[in-house]
Amino acid sequence: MKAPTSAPPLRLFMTVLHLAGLGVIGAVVLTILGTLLSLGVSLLLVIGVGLLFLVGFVYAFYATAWLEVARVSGLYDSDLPPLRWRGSPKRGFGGWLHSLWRQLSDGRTWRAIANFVIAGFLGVLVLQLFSMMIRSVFVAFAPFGSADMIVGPLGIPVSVAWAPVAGVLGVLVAAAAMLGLAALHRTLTRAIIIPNREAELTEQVRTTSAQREGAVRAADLERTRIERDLHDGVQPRLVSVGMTLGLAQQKIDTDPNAAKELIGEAHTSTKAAITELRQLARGIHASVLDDRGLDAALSALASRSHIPVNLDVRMEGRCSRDAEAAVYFSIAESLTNAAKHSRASECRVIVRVREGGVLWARVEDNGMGGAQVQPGGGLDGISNRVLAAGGTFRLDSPLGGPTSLEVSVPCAS
Amino acid sequence: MRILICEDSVLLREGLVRLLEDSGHQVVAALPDTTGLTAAVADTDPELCILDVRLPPTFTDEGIRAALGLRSTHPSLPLLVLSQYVEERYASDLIAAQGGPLGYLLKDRVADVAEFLTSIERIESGATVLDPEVVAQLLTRRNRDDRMLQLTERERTVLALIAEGKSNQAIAGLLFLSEASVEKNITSIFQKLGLEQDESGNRRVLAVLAHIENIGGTGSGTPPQTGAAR
Repeated sequence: MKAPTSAPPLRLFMTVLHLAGLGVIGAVVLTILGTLLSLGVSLLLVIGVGLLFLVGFVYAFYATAWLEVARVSGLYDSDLPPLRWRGSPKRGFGGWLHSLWRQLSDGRTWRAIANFVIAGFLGVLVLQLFSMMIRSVFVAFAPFGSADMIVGPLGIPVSVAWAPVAGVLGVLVAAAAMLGLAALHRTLTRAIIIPNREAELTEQVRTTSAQREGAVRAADLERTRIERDLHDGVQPRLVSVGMTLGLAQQKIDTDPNAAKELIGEAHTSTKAAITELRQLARGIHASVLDDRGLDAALSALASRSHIPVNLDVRMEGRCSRDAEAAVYFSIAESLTNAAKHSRASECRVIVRVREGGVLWARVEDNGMGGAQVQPGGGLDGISNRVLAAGGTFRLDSPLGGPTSLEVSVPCAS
Repeated sequence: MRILICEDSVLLREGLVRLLEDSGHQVVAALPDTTGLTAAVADTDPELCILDVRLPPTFTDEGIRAALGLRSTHPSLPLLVLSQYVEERYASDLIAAQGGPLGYLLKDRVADVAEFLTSIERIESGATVLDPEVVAQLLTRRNRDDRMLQLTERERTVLALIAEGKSNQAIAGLLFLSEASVEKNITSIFQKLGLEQDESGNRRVLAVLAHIENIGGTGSGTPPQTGAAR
């Protein structure tokens, strides 16, 4: 992580402005957080509704921390990664609760909040210094007034004769103190919020191992699927071809016509087996995806779909192989599901490359919904594949429909 | 012959029905899964029951479990289990269950119509017919056993053919030996394995297999896992 660069005058000035701003809103934000927390805790004991406030608290807490990280990152022009919502690997309501808990127990979030509180205090001081500065200006111009004595910058009465000196001194001291606070803020922030090497590596390891688990699981599910496809599709067909030809062989002398018919049947069945094998191979690896990219591969996919697909792909250039494959197979699985289970009459596929190099896709159908990620199922396989490519996966399929699936994968994963 | 079929793939089920009816057998029931299997057996009283190993709902070993169930309700019913894999463990479970005639064949064997029909008839008439690949696996697994090591190459071949359900005459034909020398080999095998000499036919095969099953493992039905597929 790049440490903040040296502080040019402009940055110090900006820091002072930041602190002044935080001096105003910091108290408000902390009051809101405090209120949510205390209402939550107290109402939790009285009646259950406190839970709602606690949930609100977690979200507000996270939002504050996120903004603080973004603020520091922008101010010091550092490549600090934005704070990330720590989603739970579990699903459903329990998973949601778990992810709330994970935000609360996330060290980075807490450090950001600590920095925010400190910056708020510094901000209040900056505001005090600012008002002292204004007063000093008035003091400096006091000789043009009519009073004999005047209240100096620090509240000590000074004679009018000395007022300009006191005023100028006051302005200088206030300005110096503000710059000092700005420097202090920089030092503290550096210590608190900008992660050290170790924490950064820990975070990386955590992400990598989650990705690796996803990849292993995706590969596992994929193998199971291929095995099943082979055994439930191609093998019975070939055995049946063998059986038909065997029967024909027995009959060829006694009943040539029947044998001819059987051979014709075996021929048809063989062609069906070839088609099935081809489709299976395509399900394992879409070569057009490598050669011509996602757009072309999706055209082929849409044309093979059993229900009409409205395809809307806008991407220039290529993304990484993993990213394209993850998105391609997510869409393929969604279309298969839509055709098999949803009773949808049409599907819509949108693909975009979004800001920050994220390959994003959304598949929606007008079917009856109720799709679920079942362990070992197709959706489980692709969600793991997407996770392995460093992306996110979101399925929305209420009973009664419609179903939509959104995946985002870093383009250069 | 009155035959009951339990096979989930429509293609294979109908193919089997046609093949069997074409050859003059009567298919009394063709079921897609094991629900109602016992009832169907009780109702139709088949002379042979053909079961697929992999059946809904879990597509693992439903067929084997159904076969073991039938062994307890209809102990003398001839069973033919069709498998997509060579699964020595499945065969061992069935052999250990004892009872009526047993067949365990790879699905691919169905394509050799004439041989398949012969196997069916042999099973119905009381023989045990195991797929050569299953036998090979069973014997490979037992080869570490001291007593198995005492067998000569020729005796091992004969033992494998016995396990496949071949008669002495058939073994003699296959190995270009006289029947007398086959019998001599068998006597020697039975001696080395410490088995009763008077076993014959299906009982002979089961005795051999049950025996090698026992000396290979602890005899508790959970012998060590070998390199069986899956």
